[in-house]
Amino acid sequence: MQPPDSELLKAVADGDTVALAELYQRHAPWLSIRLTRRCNDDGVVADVLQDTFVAVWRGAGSYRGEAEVAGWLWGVAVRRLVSRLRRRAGRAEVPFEDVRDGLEASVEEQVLEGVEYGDLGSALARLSPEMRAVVQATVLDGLTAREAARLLGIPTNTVKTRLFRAKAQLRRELVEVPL
Amino acid sequence: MTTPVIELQGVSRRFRGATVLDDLQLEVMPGVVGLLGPNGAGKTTLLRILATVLGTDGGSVRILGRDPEDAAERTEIRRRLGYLPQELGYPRGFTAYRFVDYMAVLKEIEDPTVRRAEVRRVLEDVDLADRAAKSIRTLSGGQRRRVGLAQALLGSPELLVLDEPTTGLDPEQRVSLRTVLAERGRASTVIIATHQTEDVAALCEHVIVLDRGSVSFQGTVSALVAEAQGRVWLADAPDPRAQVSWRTATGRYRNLGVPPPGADLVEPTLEDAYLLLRGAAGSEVEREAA
Amino acid sequence: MNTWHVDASTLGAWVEGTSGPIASASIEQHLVQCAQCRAAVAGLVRIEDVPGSWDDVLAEVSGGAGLVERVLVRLGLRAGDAVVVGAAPVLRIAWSAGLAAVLGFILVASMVGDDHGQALFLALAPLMPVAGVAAAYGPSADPSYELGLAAPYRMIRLVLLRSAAVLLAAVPITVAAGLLLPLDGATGVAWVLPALAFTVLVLGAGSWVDPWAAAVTVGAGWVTAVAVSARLGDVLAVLAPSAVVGYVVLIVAGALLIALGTPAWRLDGQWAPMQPGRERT
Repeated sequence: MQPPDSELLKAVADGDTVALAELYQRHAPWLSIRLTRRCNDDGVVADVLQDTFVAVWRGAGSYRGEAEVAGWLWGVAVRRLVSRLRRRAGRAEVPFEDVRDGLEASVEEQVLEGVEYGDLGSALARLSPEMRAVVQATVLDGLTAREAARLLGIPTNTVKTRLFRAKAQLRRELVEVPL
Repeated sequence: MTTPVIELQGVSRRFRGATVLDDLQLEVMPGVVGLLGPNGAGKTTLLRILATVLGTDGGSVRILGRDPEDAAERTEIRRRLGYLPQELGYPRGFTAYRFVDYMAVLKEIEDPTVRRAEVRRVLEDVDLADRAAKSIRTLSGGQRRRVGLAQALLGSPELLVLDEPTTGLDPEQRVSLRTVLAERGRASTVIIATHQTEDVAALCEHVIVLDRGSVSFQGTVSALVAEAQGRVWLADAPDPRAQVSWRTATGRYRNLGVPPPGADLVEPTLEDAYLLLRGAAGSEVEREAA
Repeated sequence: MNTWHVDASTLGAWVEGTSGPIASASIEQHLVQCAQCRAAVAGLVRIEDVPGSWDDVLAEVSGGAGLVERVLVRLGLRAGDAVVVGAAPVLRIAWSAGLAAVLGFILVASMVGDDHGQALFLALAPLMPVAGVAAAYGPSADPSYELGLAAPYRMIRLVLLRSAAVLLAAVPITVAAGLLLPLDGATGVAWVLPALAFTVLVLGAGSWVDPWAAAVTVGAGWVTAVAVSARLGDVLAVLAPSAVVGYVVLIVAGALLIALGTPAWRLDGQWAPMQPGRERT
């Protein structure tokens, strides 16, 4: 059985580059996909991934392994992405609407949405893309309102307003639907 | 007949009034050459001259067919040279990787991708690849020496000048180092200054013995060993007539010098020959611990 | 314990970027907690297709290109030169030392009173760049100096690159300090002339003697000159027109020394780093 991430992290804190390589093998792929879905510029994603793993190397000692290592990695990565995007003049990210706008979700996806989120999933789907983007950035990706504003390229107040309205709509829909 | 890689004629060097090298005459051919001699013999000074970091006070020097006094030729020599000084300091806070990378830049390996591969390669050669990211301060003495050796190997130089490369290495590390050096000796010239005769015996075909600034022997290792033939014998007690005696692992005593009749003669080692040579020169001979 | 896993085709769609937003959000939340599905993603993605590379990460954590080097490269320096500059032991402390010195000046000047404060500034300001340059290279500053000599990289280039970097760090700070302090006339800026003279002189002398020795000599001489003129009543005498001629002469002399000295980068000379016990090995 392969060593768990927390053990690899301890080895990294000791200066073991082989352990870091293993962490890279395990996490760079999914991190890169998740990052690319928020910014489809390969150069930026490459820089962010590099900074993330260098940060892992430096910070491995001080990581108190309570939550999943993967969660910590995503937190580091998305914040690097935000600060990098803030420095750029324009944005090159893909909007949160899915690429196949208008096509029917596959049967599996419908089931998935039903299983993982149930009514919440369909309620989320009924939000406008802008509201959904804000919900994704703050609730799911764990960003603050200001960070989300930088990521999406909109003013912070707009983030707060949309989030407020999204939550209101979700509450309305979920309360009204009989359980 | 191959041309000598290094030729010194009448080379002298003074330092603070004292003569360190005196009318030196020597030739080095391709392969691995050992430079033996006690402290104070001038080994480091000679190696510094060969590494083009020191000039001479007289005589002529030719390295790789070039004259180190000429600036342009000196740079050409340096492009084909790897050097490990006797005392090597490292910039504060540097990791092994960073230091070797820095030296790679100084050796004009400009392209980052090529340089990265080369740094990785030499660190693997000295078995430090998994410690490359560690600060040099945290490495042991032997490991630090190996960092120094790694940078000398950058670029696979034609001439390797190594001053006491095995200092601080434990026996296994010394053996693995010899493997690396023997490998390099096949393709280039390696000159190793040391007072460890076992290293010379294991690695070198040729040996130069330096004593108080002059060459007291220059030739093949076997020729030097042959000079001790019939002058080494074992006895149960140290022989007062011997030049040098010491107790061996078997409990018997090894004696060097003029053997008494009927003595139990044994095959000489390089160490025996070296000590006899020094004794013949009238120096106080003391067998240094290995 | 989560026993639910994303099925292969949905995961594939997510990797491709064609899955819907809700499904993607769901998958992403799940991946943070499920090592098995993460491994499945790793199986679907070739590591070469991941932007960036492990090699870059390894090089950086091993101590390859640090922050200073990356900044320098972005400013237009060649990668190799950036490494050489970044290796200057003094670069890191140049900024903090400069800052500390500035604050020190301001503090002392405000405590000690106008005239003495001025003398102090005049005595020390030109020595800042000199000290910086002397600390950028040479046997006292660089533990691997002997190795650097044996390398083909031109020493004069190394010296000039590092000195330039140190000066760029130290000089603006000192100039700012000069402009901020209450000094007579153009003293706040005029100190630059002797500073330039001494810096060039130390650089020139550095190819023959240990730059620290040259710097200390120059520094002692200057401080004495300032102290003497202060004692004689006119601190600014060291900036008088007759002195200016002297500085220009020093600049020319220093430049000549640099030009002449460049072939001589070797350990020769009395300052060769050999301790008494080792000198005869």
